[in-house]
Amino acid sequence: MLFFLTLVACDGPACLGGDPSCLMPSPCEAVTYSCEGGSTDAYWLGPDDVPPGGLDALGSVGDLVLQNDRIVAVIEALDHPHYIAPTGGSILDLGITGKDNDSLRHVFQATGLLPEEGFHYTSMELVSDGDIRAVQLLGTLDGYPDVAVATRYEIRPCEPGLRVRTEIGNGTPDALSVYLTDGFYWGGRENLPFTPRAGAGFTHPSFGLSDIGTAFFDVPFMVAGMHSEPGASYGVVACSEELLSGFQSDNVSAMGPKPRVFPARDWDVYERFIFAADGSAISGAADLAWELRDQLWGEAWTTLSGTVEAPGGKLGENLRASLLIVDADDVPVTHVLPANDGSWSARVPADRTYTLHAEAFGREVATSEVKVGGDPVDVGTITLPAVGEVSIDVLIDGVSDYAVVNVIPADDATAAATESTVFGFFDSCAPMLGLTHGGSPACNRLIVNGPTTIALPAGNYDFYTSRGPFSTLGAAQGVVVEAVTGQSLTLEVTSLDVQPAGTLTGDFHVHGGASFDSTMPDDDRVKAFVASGLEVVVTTEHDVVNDYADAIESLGVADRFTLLTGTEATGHVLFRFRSDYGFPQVVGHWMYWPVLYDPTAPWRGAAYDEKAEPGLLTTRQEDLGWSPTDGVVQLNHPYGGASFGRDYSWATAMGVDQTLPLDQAGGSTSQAIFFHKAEGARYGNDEYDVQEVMNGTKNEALLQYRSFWHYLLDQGIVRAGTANSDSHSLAENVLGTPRNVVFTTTTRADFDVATFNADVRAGHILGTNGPVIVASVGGHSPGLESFAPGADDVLHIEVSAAPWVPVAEVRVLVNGTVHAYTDLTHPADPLGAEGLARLTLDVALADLLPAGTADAWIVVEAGSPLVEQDDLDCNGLPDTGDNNADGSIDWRDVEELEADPGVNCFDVVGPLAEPAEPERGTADWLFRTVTPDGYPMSFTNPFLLDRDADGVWSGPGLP
Amino acid sequence: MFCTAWLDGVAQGPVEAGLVDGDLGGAHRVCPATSVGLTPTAYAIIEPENLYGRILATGTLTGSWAVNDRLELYTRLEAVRLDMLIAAISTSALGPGYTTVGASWRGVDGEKWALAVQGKLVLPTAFVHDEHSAPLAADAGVQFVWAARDTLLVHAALMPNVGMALGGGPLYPRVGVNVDAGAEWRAFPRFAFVLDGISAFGRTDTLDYAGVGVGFRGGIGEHAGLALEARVPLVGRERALTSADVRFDWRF
Repeated sequence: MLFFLTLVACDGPACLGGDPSCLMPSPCEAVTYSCEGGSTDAYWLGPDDVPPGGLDALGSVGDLVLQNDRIVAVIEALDHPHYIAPTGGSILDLGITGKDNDSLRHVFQATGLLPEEGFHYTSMELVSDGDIRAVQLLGTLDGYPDVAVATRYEIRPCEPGLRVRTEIGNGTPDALSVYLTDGFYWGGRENLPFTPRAGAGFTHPSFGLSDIGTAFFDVPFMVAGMHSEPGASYGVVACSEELLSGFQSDNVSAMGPKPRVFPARDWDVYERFIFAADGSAISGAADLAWELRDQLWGEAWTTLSGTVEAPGGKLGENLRASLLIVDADDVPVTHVLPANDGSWSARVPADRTYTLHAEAFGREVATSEVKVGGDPVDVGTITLPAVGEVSIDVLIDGVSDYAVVNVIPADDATAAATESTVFGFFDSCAPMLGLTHGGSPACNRLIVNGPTTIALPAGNYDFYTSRGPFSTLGAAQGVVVEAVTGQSLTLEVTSLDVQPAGTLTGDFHVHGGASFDSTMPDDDRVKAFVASGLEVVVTTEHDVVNDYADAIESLGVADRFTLLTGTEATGHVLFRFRSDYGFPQVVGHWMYWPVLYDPTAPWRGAAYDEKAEPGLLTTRQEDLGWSPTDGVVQLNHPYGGASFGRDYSWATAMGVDQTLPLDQAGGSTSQAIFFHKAEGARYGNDEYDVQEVMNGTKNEALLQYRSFWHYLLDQGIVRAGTANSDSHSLAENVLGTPRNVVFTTTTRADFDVATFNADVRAGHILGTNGPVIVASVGGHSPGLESFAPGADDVLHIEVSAAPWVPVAEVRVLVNGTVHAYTDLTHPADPLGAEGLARLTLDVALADLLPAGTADAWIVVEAGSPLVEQDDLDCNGLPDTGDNNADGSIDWRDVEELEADPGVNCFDVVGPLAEPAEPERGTADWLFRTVTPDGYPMSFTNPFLLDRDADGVWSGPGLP
Repeated sequence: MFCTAWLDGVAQGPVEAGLVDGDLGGAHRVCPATSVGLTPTAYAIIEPENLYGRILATGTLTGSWAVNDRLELYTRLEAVRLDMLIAAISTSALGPGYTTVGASWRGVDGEKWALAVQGKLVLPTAFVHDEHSAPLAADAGVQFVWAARDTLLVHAALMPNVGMALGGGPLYPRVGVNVDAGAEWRAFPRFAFVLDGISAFGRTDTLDYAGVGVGFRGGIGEHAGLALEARVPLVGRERALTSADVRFDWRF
């Protein structure tokens, strides 16, 4: 009986019983901070309030600010859910008071990976107790109304973070598998998580949904640092558990108590401290974490300090170096960025021996060992290998201007000596001038505007730049950089007469720091706009809107391009929309422009884009001011992979079988969902304007996007094709490569957005990363207006390109059947300015079209020969290339197959083959110096030939 | 009196493979026996469409004491309880399970019939599984048995039950009633077969479940018994495919 009385009397949860007046206890009572003049404040953001700023700041009117003398946090309003969370109530912003350096994307609560396991808060109440301010949220799990949850975020004076307590009770009759966790949604290309575990630090095992159990590890804390400044570092230490359990990636980290069987009627409480430190370095947050571990668990720490010396370079200005501090058990305990004067310090656990790994340009360049007791230790000076400095200027048509310069090792030895990654994340760079996805310099690229000095390891380098694809290629080749020496380079670029008259170039898929997967500062993003030579830039941040107004104004470049604000609706919350598929999904990515930028609104003016089929997304955007008559809806990258089960691509999510026609009879099966109109939608899913045929500089999925486009054309479903970069930073896709050349009557000087968008919707577009095609049939240009061709009409084609853009063939596709022409001229000097015209061709339609009078479509392409790919799963979509280069495409080319499956149609396929790596110095190699991993390609929109002259264009039908 | 035909190791009474922890709501035999036993049990939910599965297994020790020819006190102790949840993040727990103490008193009877009052208490001894709460449950009800022949018993039971969680959190009280009816037929001297219609109401939903229970019971010599039993819910809120047990008993 005494046992049961003890159970009744123990300190349990306070807010799981349904009492709205309940009050949760203050979390983390063992944590204490004190200071003089500490203060707290809590308030709901109003229209006149200035929300906390920063690269990831999204606080809006109606959200709650918790602030003290050290940090400021924004808890989103219940009706402002972001990203994966089903409702508001998550930590949306967290930064240092007065610094406007929020670089935290989102921290939400969940008990697992499925959407029904997210916290669905239904009430949000501000609580005050003396100088303690807190907000208390009550609710349930999203898919389990009988599982009560409650969370309290609390702020006290002097403290560098939020105390957080979560309670959960299982009121269902079933045992649940519960992982009570904070999901730190980094988004990708943003914060990098760091855990002090043997062999870990920045290194974490990769995993998918099916093997996530292998990625769980117990750690004393997790901290994360950012790519860009101004930034902050973040961390979490548990107060109610000695160790945290979870998984890490640059996309999302999850930290909480160990996953457990959660029987019916059981409850749990999790308390933790979530904190922020100034600056992007891991050591800022790690210092706090070790201090908290001392307070909570008595783990003593001490301070290591010292100096880093970098002969020939300027630390923090043109040379980024860091120190990874690892103990004798191979546990990385912190990571430090020295200050500009080389000084550094960091807290580390006491009484251990450490190895200091000094890194520069992404590579380990020096090590040093030190033993510490309980007192601070100065390790002295660590000297890095000497570097050389190069000052680079770019003259565009004789004038210094913004340009992106690519630095490329000129020989294999330099490449081998400089190739590295950012702590194992992202693709490698050679040389690593700066963090891959931060501001300039990033990876091996930098933005210049007048002479700009960088530091480089000794070696032999080439430097390349262009003003998009319609200029010469500025080059300085074989530049020998020696240690502790400086030299200057000037790259000269000349604009070429390649772009057709009456056109504007545009990129309709561009991201910056406001997107959840970009840390590119607004200033650098705008500089890149100018450097690209684009005339129209549609900014399309994931889920939000950004107008870059401050950066454009501060740089004084408003007259250099026209900016249209758009948004990329990006599904995060899984839901079920297909009747023939058993698992919840998202609908891929959809673009809307122009949309209104509202700095005070949630999502900065974009519509909430979760749990909505495409037609409903369009409806929601229209409700917020997007216009179907003046705007554009774009289907982005129709096929693609997934991240955490979230499909990037609508056609993939639909699961369409391209050997079968789409089903217009209704329903939501894979063949019918294309036309489906969701409840509450004014538009069907098929009511979009354009689709990306080219996406990304690498353009690796062209054949799949193109296949879907042709599949629709064959069925008479006509959408314009576009070509966009999908650039997120300097390092990956090159802004404006590929781009759209829009044939339009509006001009930059007198820009009319409605006219421009009307031409986009009408398919008056050439998509290209270099080759330019001007084609006509009987005076008609490509576009979605059908016409009846004359009996003697010819297809007239003119192809031109900058000398550094190789064009090997021109393809004429008639209802998908390819007619190739390879008799093109090639410029003698790829680095020159001559030899633009490559082909002029007239082909009689009679020689192209099939017999009869059935309507037909024609698309013209130019560029390199396409890499052969095959369809091994028999769904009509190219999926696998000749990856083993044996001359045939079969099961041996499928990565996941080790034996012949013995069937005609495989269950697993891929990958697609990539173009062969060109030899150094060839024209194809030169093209890649400013078009990394790409190959020349351009396409026209279709000619729709109404051959039977009935005034209605009909698709030729599936082959 | 029909109980005299069931004095050896062949099990008697309704199917006891409970769908609820501690066999809450399940009826017990009306013929008292003094015995000890070992009963491995299993309970399975398989729902791929919900990315959910549960395999619950116990190694249960049983014991009973026939105080007299009408009253039996009994206990069942889940010495080992393994709960495996198959989900997007799978988990498992292994530790001692629940303890049940109960009593059955055949209050009134005739040569061919009996009416017993029964009840049990399910104690919160699954300390590893219930990390914070202490679920306590009890049932009490009546069972009527009519012996069509000494070797063919027809039984029906009404077992109201209640449960709640102690331990400082919400009580989550649940009240329900089990209504079971069936027949057991000793077709051979050392073999019996039991078929029950099972149902439960109100504990988790209006209809917790309705289904069948089936058991095959054998005797080895005069004292030993071996039974394979299962309950299969067919409709209602209960998600399990089945619960099953294998009972090894030694009757003194």
